[in-house]
Amino acid sequence: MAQEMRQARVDELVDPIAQHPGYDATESKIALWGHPLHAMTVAFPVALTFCAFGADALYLLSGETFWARAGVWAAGTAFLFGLAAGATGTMELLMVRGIRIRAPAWTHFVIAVLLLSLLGANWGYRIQGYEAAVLPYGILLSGFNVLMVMATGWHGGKLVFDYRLGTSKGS
Amino acid sequence: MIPWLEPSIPHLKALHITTLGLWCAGLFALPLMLARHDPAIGQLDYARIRRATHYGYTFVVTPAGVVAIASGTLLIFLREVFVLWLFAKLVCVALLVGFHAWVSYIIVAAAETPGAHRPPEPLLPTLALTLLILAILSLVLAKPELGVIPMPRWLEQPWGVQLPFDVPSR
Repeated sequence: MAQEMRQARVDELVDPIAQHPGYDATESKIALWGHPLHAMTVAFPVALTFCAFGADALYLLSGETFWARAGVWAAGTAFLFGLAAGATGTMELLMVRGIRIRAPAWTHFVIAVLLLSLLGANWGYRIQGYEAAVLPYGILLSGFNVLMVMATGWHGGKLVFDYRLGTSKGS
Repeated sequence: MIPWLEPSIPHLKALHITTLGLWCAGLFALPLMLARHDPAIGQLDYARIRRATHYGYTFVVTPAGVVAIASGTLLIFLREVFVLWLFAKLVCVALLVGFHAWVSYIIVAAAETPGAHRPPEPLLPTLALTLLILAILSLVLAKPELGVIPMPRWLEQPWGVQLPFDVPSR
């Protein structure tokens, strides 16, 4: 009985945020003919973050200077392409009403900005001496960055797969 | 590292400290506000809690966190602090961001399962948050020499394995 009453009340509760005009206006605005630029650009920093860790692992294995140089380039380009992907994502978040109003979009934002900070630290540390930087702290940073890029990517994917944000036609 | 931006360091630091203060305060406030959501809630209270926590999260606390981290990143490059205590601090900030994401899950649960969702008791999480913030403050203020912490030997030297393929020698 109490259960039923509670159920009845649950059905009556209306979320004021979902009533907001524009809540469903989630179509991407930063796009080329409907294909969102953010989804296109994030592939680069994500892959390069893994590359930096891979290069560090190969340096640990072999000690070849080549891999330390590959590491500094992968870490640097991960950061710079990350800034570009961050710019498209930030514009999308701020300009599209249906994305700006959703809490999970902001969660992805703050995790991604921290990831950029870590990617920048990994690069800046290496340009002071790319070979000495790898062992042991460079590889630890790269490994942590891989974990962070997975957390960021998962939360970004959640926006697309669960809420269909930033897609061409909205949901 | 970026000479023409160097005069802005004090301003960036002021911005960094102001926004991180706002961010951390919000991380304490949001779980306490969300704890008011319970199964016996009526529409008026529900709408009030939703508006306060949602707009607080999306338009105050998260932007403050973003600005704090972004200005901090710029400061890292301007002051060239690529040192161990900073890396340790960034890992602690990652945990802080984890706490932030946990708060967002409660907000989403309150939005998507109105009335049915039971928010977590905020006492222990906010205690953990206090410890985390104290750890971050200790790292940045004391700047401890973390290089003395021993690393495993297998991580300090290359293993000298011959790879089954050639790489350029220079």
